[in-house]
Amino acid sequence: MRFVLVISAVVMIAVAWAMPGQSESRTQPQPDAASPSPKPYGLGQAPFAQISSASCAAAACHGGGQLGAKGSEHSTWAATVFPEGPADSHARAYRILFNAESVRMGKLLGIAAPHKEALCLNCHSVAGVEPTAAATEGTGCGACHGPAEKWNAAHVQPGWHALTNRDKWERYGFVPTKNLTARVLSCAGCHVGDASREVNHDLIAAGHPRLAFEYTRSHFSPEYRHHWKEQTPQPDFEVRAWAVGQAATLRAATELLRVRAERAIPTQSDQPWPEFAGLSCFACHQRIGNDELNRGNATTPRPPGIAGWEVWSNAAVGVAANLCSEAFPSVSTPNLADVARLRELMNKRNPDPKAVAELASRAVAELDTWLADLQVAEDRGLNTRIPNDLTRKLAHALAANSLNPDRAKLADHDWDALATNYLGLGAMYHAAGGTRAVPGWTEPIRELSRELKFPTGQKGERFHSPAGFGKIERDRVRDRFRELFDATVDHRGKP
Amino acid sequence: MSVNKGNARAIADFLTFSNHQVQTVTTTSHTIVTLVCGAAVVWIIWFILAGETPAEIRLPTDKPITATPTHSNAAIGTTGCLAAACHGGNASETLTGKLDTRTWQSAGTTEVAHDPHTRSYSLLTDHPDRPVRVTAKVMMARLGICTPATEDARCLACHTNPALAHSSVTKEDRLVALRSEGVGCEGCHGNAGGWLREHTTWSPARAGNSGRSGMVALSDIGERAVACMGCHVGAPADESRNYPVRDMNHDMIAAGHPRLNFDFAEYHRRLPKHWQEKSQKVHATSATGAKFDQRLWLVGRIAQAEVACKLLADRAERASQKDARTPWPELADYNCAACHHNIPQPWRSEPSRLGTRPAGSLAWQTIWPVTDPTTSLLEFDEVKKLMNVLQGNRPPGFKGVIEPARQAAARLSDFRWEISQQPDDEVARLGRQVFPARVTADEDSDHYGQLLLGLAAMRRSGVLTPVQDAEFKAAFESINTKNWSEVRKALDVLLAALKPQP
Repeated sequence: MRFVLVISAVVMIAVAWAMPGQSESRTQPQPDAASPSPKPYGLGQAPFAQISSASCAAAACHGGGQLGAKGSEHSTWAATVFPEGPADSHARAYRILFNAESVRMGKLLGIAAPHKEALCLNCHSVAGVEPTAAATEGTGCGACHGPAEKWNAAHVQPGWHALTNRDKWERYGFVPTKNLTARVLSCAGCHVGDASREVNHDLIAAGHPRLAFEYTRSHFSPEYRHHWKEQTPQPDFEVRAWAVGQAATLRAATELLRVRAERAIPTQSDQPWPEFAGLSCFACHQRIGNDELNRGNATTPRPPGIAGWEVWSNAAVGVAANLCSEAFPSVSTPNLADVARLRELMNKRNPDPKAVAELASRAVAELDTWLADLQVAEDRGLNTRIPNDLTRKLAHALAANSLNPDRAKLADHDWDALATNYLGLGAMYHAAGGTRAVPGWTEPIRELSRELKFPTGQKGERFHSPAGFGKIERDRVRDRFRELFDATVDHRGKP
Repeated sequence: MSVNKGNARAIADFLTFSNHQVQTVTTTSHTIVTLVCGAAVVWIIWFILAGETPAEIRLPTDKPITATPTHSNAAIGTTGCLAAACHGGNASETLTGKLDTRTWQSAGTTEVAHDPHTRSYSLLTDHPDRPVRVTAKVMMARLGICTPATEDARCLACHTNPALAHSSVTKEDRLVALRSEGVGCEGCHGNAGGWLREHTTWSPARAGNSGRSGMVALSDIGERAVACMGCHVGAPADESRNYPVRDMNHDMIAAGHPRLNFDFAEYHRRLPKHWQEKSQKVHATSATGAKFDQRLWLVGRIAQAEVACKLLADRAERASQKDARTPWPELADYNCAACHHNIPQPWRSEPSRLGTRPAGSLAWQTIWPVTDPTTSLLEFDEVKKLMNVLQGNRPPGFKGVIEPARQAAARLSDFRWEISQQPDDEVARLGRQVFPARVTADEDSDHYGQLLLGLAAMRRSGVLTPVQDAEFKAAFESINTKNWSEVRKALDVLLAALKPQP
């Protein structure tokens, strides 16, 4: 008995002695962690040289002859090898610079040859690829997977798989696209934009489509041909990809706002401020007349006369933030206070670029912390599946997000907000298994798709805006969201 | 951009060639009638005895100086003008459109009886005198302002005498009560405290006196236009008169206020007149008023450009001072349809539609007389410079706008004065010069509307060869139904009917 007591005393002393040491060893990396907030890997472009996609296309490497198979990634990606069926539009990115619309855009912007212009080539080819002839390959391998100067040789060496994803990115410039956060951040470089790759209002006015990116919509587009096989099963993949997409898209949009605000600060700056491309397109681009505009059946979180900042990337991010801990078990709900403050500031009448730049940089840090958490959680291996009814829960939250608390009115009448909530619901519907699994969602989701679609005019002309989207249409959209709200309660009738 | 209902009414008015429908005022008391008639008889006798003839009334030859009253410029209210022996006479003749040298006696009566300006204050209350789509209360709620519209200087600035709009006035019950008169006599003529007694003794050298005393020189067409546009376009604060900023901006439009879409000649035509034009007596050619509309139109358009530039400079200035209520860019300065349009394929930014503007830039409002300012009458360096700043491919920063806008306003002000001194024939010549040979802009209802109202003024002045009503009617209706090819067709016919320049 005494022996046991002595032993336990010794153990306790040992533990007491070890504790501070342990906490010390924990705090040791503090200087690193306390210095700027954690950043996910895969941000921006790695500072290495790009090489031609042709060097990936060796038959023994990625140029095999089996559509969609491992080893045939390049052949699957390139449109020419298997011309039938869906294709990867990235392979066509360079060629469309020659079509009539691009030439017309060039004329309006004073660009004689779009296919030689860095402004266009930064996204429509691999930015900075050598030799320049390799630009003709379009948005080739290196654009998404990172410049291969260093990793081209390394990635076939035996030690490659032992490297962490962060090492692959930081030391070799390789984008570990298996990690969803790294992947979507890489997509967002072009599909949202950054300092060197920017679709601004001038370009859009000249004819470039606006950028409105939602990852799962692009991933599961029937026109897109995948050259890889997803490891994560459904619905886990799509739920996580949607959440990561929300965070990464807003992160890229916020950083772009910071860059634009920064440029507008100098007194003699001729940079646009506000940059209209960062505001909701259809807040302005709608016909106005004698009808009451966007009132009655909808509220808005903005004062009258203010076009919302990035409604597209902001509208549903709160849902992703609130529920991401269920999709990524070790991630807690992120703190997005500065993001909310930035939205407030952008709702002011005359936001000072300096104040915006400062706040946006803090908001980017918040989003980076969140993204880094998501990234680490995924790298640690998410062996646990997502909870059974998470798709339903998220769908319910999205339907609730689109309505006022009393569900009598839409929470935000802006088309971008409606479309963002609809796309989230669509992703959850698809992830859950579609009409087989959740038949009650099918009709309202299809009708939302019809309502939000840009119309065709009486003379068959196509619109690039929700022409004629008025009170009646908004009423119908509201009703569909309500139906989805009701259809997504659980068996006890609870959210 | 649709042309609002006002135009539909304009068609009706226009086609009947009538003055405004006039109501007769029934005076309830015979005594008043007797007194008024008595006063009129006395006045006529005095008029004859004094031997004053219309020829002695002269147009001012000096540029009117800005109103700087020498003593108290307090408001007295409309009732102060309405004594039966002053401007409260029997208006039965004036109200039927008969204007003569005695019209001044019933000026006040006419205004009170039939002038739309008297309703302006009621529009701020919960009981507007005419139907409104959005009440002031709803607008204020949307803007998140807790003050009632009847106490907010931004609303009062134009919905009553601007000099009564400042919140400091609320302390004086007498003045607060005056607000409910709406835009009464003093709203346009200026506060009468400084000249109430004196102005009865000024004849004939009225213009000079009015400037010094604080009475607005409305007899000058240009000054009159500027006075109207203080509210109908907007104006900076005027401390000498205790006027607050008058700025109906995009925030208010977004909250439900109708946009300001002013055409001086057209509004002037539709206003029930309580005065006789002095210029009609002086310029022999104008005696019948034949070319008067032409003058109104041209001077009015130039004044509008001037006032808009002045307001723009003020908006930029306020934005630079970080005024919380001043947005920048101020979207109300631009053509509504520059942004508010659907985006059909092919895109609006067809090279042919852009003219010299870069794609993605916002077209400025069509304040210039009918055509592109840089290729017409207003070919001034100051105006060109301003347009280059405004229609660059970026929304311009406020810093770069203040000076060019100020300079353009100053240049236009001088030009307005020069034009208004020209004889009718010269004004007519310049006016016709402004019209293009054919319709130039594509699918811009503001431009079409302006062109059409200009042509209507030309028609009233007799410089349009006789054409059928059908063309005007077709043009107005096609604007309302957005049938642009029909609008262009009708306008081209009307433009071809403009008589060649002598």
